[in-house]
Amino acid sequence: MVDPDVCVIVRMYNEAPRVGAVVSGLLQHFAQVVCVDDGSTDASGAIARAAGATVVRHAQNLGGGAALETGFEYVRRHTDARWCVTFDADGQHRAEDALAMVQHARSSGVDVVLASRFSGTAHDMPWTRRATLRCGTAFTRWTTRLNVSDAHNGLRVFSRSALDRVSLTHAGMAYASEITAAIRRHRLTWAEVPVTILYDDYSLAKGQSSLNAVNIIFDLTMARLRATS
Amino acid sequence: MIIKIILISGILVIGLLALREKVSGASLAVRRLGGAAIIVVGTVLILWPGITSRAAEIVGVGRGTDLLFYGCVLFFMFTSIAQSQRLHRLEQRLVALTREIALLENHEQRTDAPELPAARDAS
Repeated sequence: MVDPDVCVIVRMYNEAPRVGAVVSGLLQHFAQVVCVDDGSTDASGAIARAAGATVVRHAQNLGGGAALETGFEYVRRHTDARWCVTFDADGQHRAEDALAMVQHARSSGVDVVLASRFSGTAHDMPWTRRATLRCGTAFTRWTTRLNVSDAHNGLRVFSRSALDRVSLTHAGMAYASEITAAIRRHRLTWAEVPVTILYDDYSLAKGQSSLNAVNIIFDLTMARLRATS
Repeated sequence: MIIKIILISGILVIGLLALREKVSGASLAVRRLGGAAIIVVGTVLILWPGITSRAAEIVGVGRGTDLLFYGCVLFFMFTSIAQSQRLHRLEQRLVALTREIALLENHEQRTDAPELPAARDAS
């Protein structure tokens, strides 16, 4: 059973070893998978296309937030999808979880569904990762005053109307906080669904360094100070 | 004195370069006025260095050189911030441009090859 109302966005940067399996796994449940190739130098684009995804390629690496917004823009312009799922290319998410989140959005009618690994299960998560994510979530809750339990999970579901209201301006990884802030600013309704995250050596190596939290906080602070943006 | 000739010609060249730069509207006016002020004040200070010492005494700094140094630090920080804001705007334009190219490129591919599975074009 393939859901025709959903477009899945997978942003990828040099994910050739994993993205093929991720795309074919998603296509078993969803009609449309769009991979945003953020300037990969490996065969990610070709592999994703061969697996059946639509590929949108950045001519150069811009960062996670910029890639996600490109995916959003694709959905806004070129599809009539009612929901848009964002999914990581490294294989840490499960397509079944995405399906459950879409079903939740469909039945409850909320604008945004967030995945939570803390109310769900996270297999083999190192304690440093857990601690950083806890701190990051505490920071996001404090700055955006939104009571989320896992602010930095790449698995999310947006309704079409949410997509029309939210646009991401942070090119880098600070976009996660930007999404949470946008939920509050636009008074979007939201829900959290517990999910399972599959950690392994590959996804941990591809994931962000915990030190990158410093950069994210700096970016967010600068954005608040900047008059333009 | 030779140093005065060197400094004044330097300040004139820098001032002219700053004035020539193409910026738009109000920020251009501010920049031009600032540039002109720097040329005039700089020239005066080079010709009569005693003025800086007296100004330093008035505002409570020991020596004229120190006053100039503090002024330079402030000026440097100001230009750094202005540059970082400009860079940020430029970055955003780069992101928008790259995104536009990516979507256009994808659109072309889809119109060339309509058998692609995800080619449900609503536009």
